[in-house]
Amino acid sequence: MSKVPSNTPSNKPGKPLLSPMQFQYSVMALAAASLPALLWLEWSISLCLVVILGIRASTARRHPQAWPMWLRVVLIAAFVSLVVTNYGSFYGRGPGGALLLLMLALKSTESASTRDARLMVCTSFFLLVASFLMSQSFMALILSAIATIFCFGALEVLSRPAVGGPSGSPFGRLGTKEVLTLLSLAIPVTLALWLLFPRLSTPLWGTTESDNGRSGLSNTMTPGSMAELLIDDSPLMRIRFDNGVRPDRNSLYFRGPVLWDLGGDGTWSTGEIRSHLMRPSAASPQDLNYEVILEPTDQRMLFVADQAISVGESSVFYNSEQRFFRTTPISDLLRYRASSALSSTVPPGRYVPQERLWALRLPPDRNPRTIALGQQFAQQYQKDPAAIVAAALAMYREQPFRYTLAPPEFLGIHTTDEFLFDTRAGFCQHFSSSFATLMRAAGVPTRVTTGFAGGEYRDNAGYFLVTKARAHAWNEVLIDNVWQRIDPTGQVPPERVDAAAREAFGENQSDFMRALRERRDQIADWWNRTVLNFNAARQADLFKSFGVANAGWEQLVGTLAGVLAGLGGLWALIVWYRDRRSENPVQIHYLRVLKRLAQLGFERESAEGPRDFLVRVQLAAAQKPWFDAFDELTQRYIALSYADDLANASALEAEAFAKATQALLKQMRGG
Amino acid sequence: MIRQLLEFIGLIGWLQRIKARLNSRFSRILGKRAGRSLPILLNQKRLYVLPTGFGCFTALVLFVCTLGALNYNNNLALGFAFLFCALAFLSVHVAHRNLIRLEFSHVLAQPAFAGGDLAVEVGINPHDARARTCLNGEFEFGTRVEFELPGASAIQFALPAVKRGWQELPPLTISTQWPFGLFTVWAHVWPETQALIYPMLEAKPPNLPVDSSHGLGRASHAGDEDLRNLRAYRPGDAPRQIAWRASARAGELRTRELETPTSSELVLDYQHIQGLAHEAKLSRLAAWCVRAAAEQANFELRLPNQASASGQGAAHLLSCLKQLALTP
Repeated sequence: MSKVPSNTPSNKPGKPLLSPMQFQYSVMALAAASLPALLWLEWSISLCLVVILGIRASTARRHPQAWPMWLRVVLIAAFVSLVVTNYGSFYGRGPGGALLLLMLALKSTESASTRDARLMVCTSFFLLVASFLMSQSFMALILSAIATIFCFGALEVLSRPAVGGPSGSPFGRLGTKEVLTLLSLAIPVTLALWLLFPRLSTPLWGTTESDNGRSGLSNTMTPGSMAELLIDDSPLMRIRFDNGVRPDRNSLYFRGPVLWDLGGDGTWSTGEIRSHLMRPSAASPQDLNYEVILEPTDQRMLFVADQAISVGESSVFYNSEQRFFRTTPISDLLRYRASSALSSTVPPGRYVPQERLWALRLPPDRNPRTIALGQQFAQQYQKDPAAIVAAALAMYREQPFRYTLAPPEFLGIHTTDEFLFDTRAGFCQHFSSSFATLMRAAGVPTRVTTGFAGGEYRDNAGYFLVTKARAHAWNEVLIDNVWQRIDPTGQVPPERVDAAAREAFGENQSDFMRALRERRDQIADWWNRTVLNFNAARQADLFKSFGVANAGWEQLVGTLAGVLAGLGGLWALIVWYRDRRSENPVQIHYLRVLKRLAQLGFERESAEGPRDFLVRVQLAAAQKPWFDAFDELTQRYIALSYADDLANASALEAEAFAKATQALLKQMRGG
Repeated sequence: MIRQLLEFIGLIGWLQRIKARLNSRFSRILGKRAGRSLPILLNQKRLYVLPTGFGCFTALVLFVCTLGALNYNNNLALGFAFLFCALAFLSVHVAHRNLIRLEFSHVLAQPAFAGGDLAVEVGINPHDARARTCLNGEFEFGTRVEFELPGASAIQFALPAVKRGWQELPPLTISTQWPFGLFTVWAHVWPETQALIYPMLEAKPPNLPVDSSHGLGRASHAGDEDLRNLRAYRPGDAPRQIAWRASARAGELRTRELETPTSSELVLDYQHIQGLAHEAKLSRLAAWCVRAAAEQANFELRLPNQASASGQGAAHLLSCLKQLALTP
């Protein structure tokens, strides 16, 4: 590459420079690879990415020079601070991915050599794979597939010489064809690998549990913290009950964190660890058996309907708050089997007296009116817990409490007082919090349980959908040494639920919108079950359907090798067939004549061209009867073989050549 | 930075020398093993595949991707990691097909003067109609030539003409990194072709040693043409050597190869050159021969153990230069 075109940027010597077209193509590959990231990136970072790559790709032809150093330094500083302001730190998938993307975009503003461009493409591969850790949606799949074509197209263009190489617009050019051909070969191989490559049953390294899990539930509940969750209608889990059982949806409570401690600011939290590991209660034939497909939450908790009996999953444990946990966070779709005995009571842990004490604590000097009411209840009903609970529930039912997702703000520090006696408007969080405070004041041990309640049956798809909007907070009251579920929110009659809340629960939707949503969810469910949740267990099922029980990795690898060898053999066959067809028939016929001539004593030397050979034959055999025909045949052979474009040697000409060959051979035999 | 440090230590130069030596030795062994007689067909036995540096880096990236996807049991990530791996590996097949069944029909090495460029033409047989892209040809120590098919029926190489005499051509490496630059597929072609290397031309030779008594005689036109041979016209043949009558009969140009003995006036004698080393004398004689031929003079070359007849013209010059080249 001795000549450098004048319109490429000057660069360090020794590195082959890119042609503008090659450069443009690599920037486009990078832009395509960052498309799936737009699905999860913060919008401000997405904007920066789009602007930088857009400018770079559109001006690459006219201004291929690297951007000035000061500008790049300024941009680096700006991007770093942008990531910090958006995410708060560099650690974790989100900020790490954002930073990688921004730095790659900056890399494109200084790249001028083939090496740089290839590095950009190679990092794009990493980016595409890593993007799926953030979003595994169908959209992400399509965008990544497009990006794959661009990335390999860029590699193809980069492997051509920069000077005298391809020019013109990168769109619809060479490269694409080769890549698409290769892609059609690669897809069966990929499918075989994907289906048969042995999966890890336990991860090699763990991941840290995300502080703010994607289930929306956490170990604390500040006033109003659940409002956002209640309007999030993205799916959390889909449940298929065995044998077509349809339990009443209002009896399904999936418990999450159990909150014991009430702080002075009205915040509920789990506090110190109050649970211990234990064995779930014994299973009985009346238990409800079902399969759950849980969306990734980055948390370790599994959701099981009360009262949980068992979870058919390895490396899970069960604690005295009746909750199941996995040892590692659920960073991907998880499918598990579970069974529950539907009931509104759960047994306490081993240390009931302590639980009783914990469930009676209140912050000092807060909510005097509530405490007075509680003490009044205690006196009135002679400390009979059941009667006190009934009185309190009656209060929620009879007094004008309203259910709304937009309650008025609290003005002072006595938030429970304000809710119970002034505003009387709120959602599950307010009801359960105030109920627990009131009961503790009356001397009835009460705790707040968060989780998800209810859901929707999707009958034509055969599953029960629980969205994140089903997040709920309820109470458990310790009566006769059993935790009894009480749901004060449920006391509010339907006419006092405001329109916005009804909307959020999907009650006011038109039939068409509802059908559309159901359809979309159904596709998402199919996608989850067949693609995203394919794991070691599904692999074993696949083998079982072919009659191989307990397939280990040896069977998997053996089958994989067999399938790949089969694909390779098939392809070799296709190539062989195509080559045979594309072989030059003229050449074959000419060689036949040469063979016959060799038998007659005229052997062509290896370095002798057809013309020289003709002359030599002429000197010795010009009088032979077949010579004229051979002369003519050689001239035709030369004309056909050394034409500018071999493909232009038409079938008709080839056929005529074959006939001439036959005639000549006949003549030679006669002579 | 690291590269500069390594260069400072001299490690890079050392590594490059080792690599060059290994490469040369390998190519000789491989070239010999595969056979050297023309025509040379690139078949499975002759093709070798290795990942490039970029290919190794990509392999590392894809390995990390696959491992990560397996660890998180992320099926889409795993699918794409596998897709990238499959595409990368299948590109070997494409690169292989790009080279295989390529046939080299002839290798012509034009005689050259030592110190100059040796022009080598390598002819390609249009064996099948498949298009081939981004092929590289490189003689050891020579220039690198990029070519593609259709479009090139013969490739021209230039490599240094080093030593007077018969020079064996070094191995020719035909390689391609197409389509993705992840793998190099290459073949060694080592035809048994020798190039005749004339002595190095003296840069500023003194004037021709003219015999003053006779003056610089112009060669009279050769009278009788002894028709020894007729051969096809080659570029460079003098027009008057063309056998026009025979050409008209044949329908294409035919050239006579002539030998016209004439009396000699100009004598280029090795023994008459004083005070120079052996090679330098040969260089001067070569330069004189060239000049004499350019002036269309009749000249005679006398070497220690052989002497040519006096003659003129291109053919005579070439035979004289050949004698000079092969002088022990």
